[in-house]
Amino acid sequence: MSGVEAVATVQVHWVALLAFAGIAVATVAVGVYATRVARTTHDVYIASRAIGPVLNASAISGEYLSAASFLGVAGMVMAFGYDVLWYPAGYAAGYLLLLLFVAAPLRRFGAYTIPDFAEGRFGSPAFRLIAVGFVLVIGVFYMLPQMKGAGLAVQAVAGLPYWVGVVVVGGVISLNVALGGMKGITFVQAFQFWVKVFAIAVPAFVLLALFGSYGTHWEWATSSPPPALQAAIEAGAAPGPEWGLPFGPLAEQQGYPLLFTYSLMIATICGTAGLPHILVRFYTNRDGHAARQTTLVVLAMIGCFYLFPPLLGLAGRVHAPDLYLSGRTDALLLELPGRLPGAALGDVLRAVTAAGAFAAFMSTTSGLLVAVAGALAHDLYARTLHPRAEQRARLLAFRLAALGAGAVAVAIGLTVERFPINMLVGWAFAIAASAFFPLLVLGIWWRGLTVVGAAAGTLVGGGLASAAILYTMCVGDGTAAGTLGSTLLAQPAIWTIPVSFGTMVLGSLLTPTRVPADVNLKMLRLHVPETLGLRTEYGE
Amino acid sequence: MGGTVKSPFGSERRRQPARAGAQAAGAGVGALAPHDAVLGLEPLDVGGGLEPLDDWLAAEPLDEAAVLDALEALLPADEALQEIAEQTAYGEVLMQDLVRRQLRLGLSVAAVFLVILLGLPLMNLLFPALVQMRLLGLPMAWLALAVLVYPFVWALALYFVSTARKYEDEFTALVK
Amino acid sequence: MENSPQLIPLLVGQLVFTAVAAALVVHLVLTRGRTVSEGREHAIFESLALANRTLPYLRQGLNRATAARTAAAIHDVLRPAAVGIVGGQQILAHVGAGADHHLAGTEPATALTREVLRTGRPIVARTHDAIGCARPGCPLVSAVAAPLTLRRQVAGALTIYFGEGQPLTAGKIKMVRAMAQLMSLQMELAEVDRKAERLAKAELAALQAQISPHFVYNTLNTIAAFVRTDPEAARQLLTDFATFLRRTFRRKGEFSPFAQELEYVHQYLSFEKARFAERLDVVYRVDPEILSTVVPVLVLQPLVENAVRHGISKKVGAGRVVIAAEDRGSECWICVDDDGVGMDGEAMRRVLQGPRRAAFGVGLVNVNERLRSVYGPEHGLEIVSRPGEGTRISFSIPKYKAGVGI
Repeated sequence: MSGVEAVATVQVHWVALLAFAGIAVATVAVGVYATRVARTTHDVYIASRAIGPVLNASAISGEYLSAASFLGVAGMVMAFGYDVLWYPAGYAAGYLLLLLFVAAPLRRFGAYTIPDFAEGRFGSPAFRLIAVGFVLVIGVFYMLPQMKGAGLAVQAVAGLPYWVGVVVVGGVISLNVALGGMKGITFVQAFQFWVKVFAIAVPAFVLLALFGSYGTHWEWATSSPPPALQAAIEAGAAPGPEWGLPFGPLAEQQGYPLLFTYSLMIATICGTAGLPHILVRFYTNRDGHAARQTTLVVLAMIGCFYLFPPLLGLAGRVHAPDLYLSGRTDALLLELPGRLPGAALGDVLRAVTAAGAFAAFMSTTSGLLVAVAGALAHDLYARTLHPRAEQRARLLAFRLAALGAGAVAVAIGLTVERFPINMLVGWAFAIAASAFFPLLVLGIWWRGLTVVGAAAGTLVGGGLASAAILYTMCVGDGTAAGTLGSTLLAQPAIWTIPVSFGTMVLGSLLTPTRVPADVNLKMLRLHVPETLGLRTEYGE
Repeated sequence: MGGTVKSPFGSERRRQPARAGAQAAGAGVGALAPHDAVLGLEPLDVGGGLEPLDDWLAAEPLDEAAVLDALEALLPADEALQEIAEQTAYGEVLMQDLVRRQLRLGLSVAAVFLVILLGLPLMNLLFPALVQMRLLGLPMAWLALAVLVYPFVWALALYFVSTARKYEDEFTALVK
Repeated sequence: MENSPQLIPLLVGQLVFTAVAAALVVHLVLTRGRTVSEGREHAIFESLALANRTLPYLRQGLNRATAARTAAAIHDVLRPAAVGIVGGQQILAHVGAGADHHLAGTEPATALTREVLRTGRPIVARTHDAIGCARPGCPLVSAVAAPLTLRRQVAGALTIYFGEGQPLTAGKIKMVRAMAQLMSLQMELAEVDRKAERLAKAELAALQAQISPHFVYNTLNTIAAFVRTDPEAARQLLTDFATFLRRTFRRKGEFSPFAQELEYVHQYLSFEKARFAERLDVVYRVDPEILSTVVPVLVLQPLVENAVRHGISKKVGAGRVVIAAEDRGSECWICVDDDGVGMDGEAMRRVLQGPRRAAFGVGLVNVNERLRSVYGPEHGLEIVSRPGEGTRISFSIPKYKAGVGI
């Protein structure tokens, strides 16, 4: 996919490179402004004004829309057609599930992270550690597609080899998190969301304006292909008219297409609830209802965003069919501006999309790195290994953890060059969905859940999913071979989630005496509206 | 210095004479604003005498009824919540009812969503000609999954948010 | 199609799933209709609404005024010939026919009532004679009387009289008895209320003692000083002070959101600023992400008070206090900085061991101890200070801690 051909067509796109750097600088600037200037005030009413739903939602959306959404979806739509649309639909649906079952109760509970919830709901520090383990696994897995995206983007923009992008971008982000940490993070993430929306919408509108409507592009992509596309189809590199139809090339690729698709859908829909860097954002809401409102705005925002990648994939098929031949459909969004008439316009658009791409992996990776480093420093170090650690030691632990986790992500990121971005994301979602989604849903809504059942379910579901994926990564060849087994191992959510639920239920029913004694109080905290001013005593 | 000071509680007291030796302006611990100097009151001295306030409180107690009224208005609905917390029968019923309603609401919305979303592949499979019909230049299948699914999901979410809020308000009204 | 073999089981699965989902939806839609408005439940609901209307007065206790209102309400709704309430060996109220000779304040005039008071059991009188009213020509024909009990003793009686054309049914009898029981319940609650009131008074006295008279004295002096020179400011200060006191008395919970601590500090500072005027400058640097973090009550204000008292008030010239709160991932870091006179090691030690009560409420010792006991010894106060330069007191607490909640 990469390698020889890419080097042969090296061009350094200076404008885009500048845009890259520009976003990095702007991010730091917004961070500094947000903390130093905007938040220093003499007026207590300004100081104590909470973050509103729109700002919070922008930040959440900014963190959520990763390289996969920004680069990956468009590229995959171009490569595989209709079936890929399930990905973004699943990403949006995940938030709906989050809204229905998790958002308000989790906020009311007061937990900051999922390990907090695990410990608080059952009073079990041991369970906390199990949860932390999976937070680390999911975090690292989700950083991989970001690393890959960074490698690809740098390659497309500066012509440098894949590994350079991974190392440089990964390094920059790790340093930024280690040194800056949480400074002004809401503003930064919100800023990057708007960069991303802008970066994906502008090329789309330009394309529509220059070449024709959505419908016209559809005709070109399916029934009346332009000559370049026709040639690619005849050469066997590009899918033919079945591209636009359901059960097309993506499904064909896997041995059991429908099964794979459903499993993937389930993973993306249920996995959002388990992503560590997303759930922490609910903490900043004022109360449960504000958490719901924020999620509502998030749904609107990501809905708007996801209108564009399919269109761009469509346009890519029509205007850049050579990418089929070079096998670089992943880099579609960065290549597309080059296909436009007029070098200046192309340069500008490429800068725009490069900025968006950088914002995409910067924001998501930062969020993940913070979550992972936080879990390492707070849950592992400060609470377990060295409980008496002083303030300074805890801060240092966070910084070192950020650097360490960043290094690990970079190292693994170098090895995943051959896996499509969305597959990597699908894996992270599958683990999150198997380990944490059942825990949250049952923990919030079922009084009968015991710590034994919950821990067993998390371990079994998350463990099986992780094992299946690791197997596929190491032993499989990147795209699942045709057997039922390999399909199920490549995307295990469809069976690991029910297994996880079942284990939790069974485990709890078998240990009815282990229902926490204060379960009613816990349910109270989860479900009773805050306006009633409930008070609990410390030390219960 | 003589004269009276009108207290915020409506009574009047003779001002106490300034303590001998105390300087009102400029000297010692933290000079105060000129106002104090004008009134001849002494600056704050941690460890100073309590007499003026003692006198005041002793002779003119606070209007207890008013204070208790204010307290009463501020106290939250403790009883019902205490009941729930102490796992009494009444409390449990209230609590379970709310939880059940919210869960049912969530499940209904999820069910509607899943039926539609997962019904789409079925439609694609069973009625290929139908789903390929053009609307706004695009086939229905594509339009549905690439465009319409997002406003649809949002509409469901909006319904959920307002209904969940309504349930909570009803619960609050019941308990208060 | 090649896909057919795998398609069929999946199709079946899809159908089953859809069927289940549809069934769920249908079930939910159907069960929605069954709310409270069905037959019997409706009747119960109506009765309860009726009770609600007629009983609330008794919550204030049983006396002539409340009895009069209650009797009137019962009479309004049920429309018997008359309603009489007796308590404490006298007629408290009588509404309806025969009100001219069953007067409030007099002894119970009917044998019926006297019997109920004596035996503590409900009695039915089906004839005029059974009622035993001494006055001839009394229009009351039949009656049901039930006792009102308080602390298991007869405290009064409720009698409902019926006239011609109002037959006495089993239903009516039951109703009067139920009514009397509900009224008794209200009276018991009134007793409880009164006890609670007295308790609150005692609590209030205790709380008052916690507020330093000095603080009150100073504030009131400041207000008084403003009265002459700037009455608007005085009025504002007074209102703020009242709110401030109310909040103090309200301090029942152990924890509150950080935003509330900020507001509390602000109110406290408004008094200090009135005192120090331009000498005191306050700056906030707060990360909005941590505003909803739950912290122990009164954890910020003592720090600010310390900064003002030991730092600024002793300094010549103007001083600045910076109140900062930073989001540090899993923890919040909170710090109060002043550029006042600073402390040396000895003074720092004294401050941390010093009085548990400061000029207002609680001192640094108290804060330190509470932080350490709630979160652990590594989360106590940290003081950095240099004489002549200033002081910084800070602490860092986890955003979530099991057992900590509002």
